[in-house]
Amino acid sequence: MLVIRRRSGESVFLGEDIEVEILDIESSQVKLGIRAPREVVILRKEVRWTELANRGAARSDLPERLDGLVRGLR
Amino acid sequence: MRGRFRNSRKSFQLQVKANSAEEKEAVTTLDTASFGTISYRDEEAIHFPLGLPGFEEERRFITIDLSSLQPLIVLQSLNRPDLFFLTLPVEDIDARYDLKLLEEYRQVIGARGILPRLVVLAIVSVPETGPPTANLLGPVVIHSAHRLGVQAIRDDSRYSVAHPLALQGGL
Repeated sequence: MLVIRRRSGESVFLGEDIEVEILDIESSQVKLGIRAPREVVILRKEVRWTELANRGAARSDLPERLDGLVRGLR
Repeated sequence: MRGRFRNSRKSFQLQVKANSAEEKEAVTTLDTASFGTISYRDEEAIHFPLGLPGFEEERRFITIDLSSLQPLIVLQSLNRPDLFFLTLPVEDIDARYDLKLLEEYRQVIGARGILPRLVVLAIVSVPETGPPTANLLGPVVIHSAHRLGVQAIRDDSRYSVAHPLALQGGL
């Protein structure tokens, strides 16, 4: 991981086309501005986690362990 | 927006109505692989303007509450008969679940001011091995009256994306 310090108003470039700017720094929160081409997907980490969880949770049939699961939940 | 909500099991009942001369509602059928042929009225469909993360194209779902699966609720895609998610009402996992609905999600489902009656479901993952888990970080939130839904992902670390489910007697 590259660790870099920036102050409010300063920027970092990722590759040729992505710029991350520190817009504001508060005591517990940083406001970032991100300039990137449309095709670059920018996601909060929690949204990416949910994306992965959804892909794992999506089903086309009921689980084999369904009876045990249902009994265990009741 | 934080708030209390109450899931009512009545909200999930999929009303299967026999055809009758008096009933002129538009009923659609869907041949699902796991639940047979289901019939639903168009008003029962829930519209997800953003889809779900990872499934952004899936915009229409219905909830199915089968007594054989309770307390699990099925979130069935109306677009793909072979796609569904198993879910649990969040209060069945954590009786004191504190919903955090960010403004961007509140707008998607049209929830303004005092929190309206919302259905809040956690998507359950049942892996081949290992314990089943529930996503309490990003629950599916449904505005029943508006028939709108969204997966509202928190921006804090209070709840887990893979909360292990406590099962009586193990699995």
